[in-house]
Amino acid sequence: MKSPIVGALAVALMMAVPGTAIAHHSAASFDRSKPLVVAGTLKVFEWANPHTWMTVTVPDGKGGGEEWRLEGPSVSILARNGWKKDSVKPGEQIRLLVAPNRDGSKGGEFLTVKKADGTVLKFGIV
Amino acid sequence: MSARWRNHRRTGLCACVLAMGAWGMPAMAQVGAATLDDIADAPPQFKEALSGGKIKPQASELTRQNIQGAPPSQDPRDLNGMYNFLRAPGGPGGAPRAPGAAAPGGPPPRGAAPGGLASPRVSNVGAGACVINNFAGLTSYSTTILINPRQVLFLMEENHLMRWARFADTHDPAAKPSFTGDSIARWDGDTLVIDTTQVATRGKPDTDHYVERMTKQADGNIAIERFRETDGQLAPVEKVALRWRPDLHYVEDICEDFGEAFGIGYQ
Repeated sequence: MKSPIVGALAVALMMAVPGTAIAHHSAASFDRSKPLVVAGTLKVFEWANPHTWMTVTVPDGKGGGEEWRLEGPSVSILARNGWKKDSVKPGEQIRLLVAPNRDGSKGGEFLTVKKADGTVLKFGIV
Repeated sequence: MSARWRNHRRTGLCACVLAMGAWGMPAMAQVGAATLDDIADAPPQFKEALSGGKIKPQASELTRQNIQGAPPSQDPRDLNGMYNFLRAPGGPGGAPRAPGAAAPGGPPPRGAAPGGLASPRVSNVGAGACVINNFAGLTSYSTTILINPRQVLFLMEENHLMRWARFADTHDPAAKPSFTGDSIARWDGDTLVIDTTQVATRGKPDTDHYVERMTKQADGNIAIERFRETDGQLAPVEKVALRWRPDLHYVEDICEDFGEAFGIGYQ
């Protein structure tokens, strides 16, 4: 007789598929055709021209974390979209929409930021 | 309860427990593919690419609407004001023009001004390299133009850059290569022509010569045609528009730590 555990595992694995992450390996810059959602803890928000940057610590699933370096638009653009230097603070749990680096390195371009309270920080044409 | 039934029930329970854990994984997944819902709040200009064409932005989302502020001056030579830039796809087209020839509407014949392309110079590659290191980078977000009979100043907020062109007939013979080059200005009718030599680009051994023609439009926008000298000809490079934006004001932001926190190679 088959073990009930085997059947249960099969069912569980089928249900787990949607959570699979995607890896990218390509040439350079950001890949806007394969956007990712990256969730983690904000380490640094660099409020600087010509580009803002976020460093986010993302749990690696092994008890540790890996840092993602995410580039954003200029202070000029974010400020005119209502952002402030402290719109996100170190230590906050955030979820970012990211166009990842084409080379597969942990980084890319952030496009929106969702805070733990559900607030979405976004930017558009100014 | 039969043994068979107990076995089925145990199988079901195990499946439920494991499945619940598996369902929890997407919520806990730290990196995963974005859904269309995630993309809905993305910058409108990127939505189509991010969604594989499934989300198309409204036309009104792609251009700032209802800009408030003073109307532009009706003087075609009064370029003073604040602008945002728009880069038009494609170049201005047309056949290359010889810089020494009087092309219709083009730059005037130039003498062998010192600092021209005739004598390639060393590049400015090395320590202290600038954030913006190419000529096209000189047109950046939020640009203020200040113009008077002696000079034209372009103050660019995003990159904290200033570009300067003086009204003069000849270039500065002592000018050294830089990414801004040495710019002189003149009027061709109501078109401001800026001739720039000694333009150095990081990693490029020689310097470039650019000519830009800037014409104020009725709506206050400035149309810029940019040409670069190639093999003795002025070849069109690109068209850029500076959009009249009286509603914009500088966002004052001073770097706090000389760029050390950037971690991307410049300080």
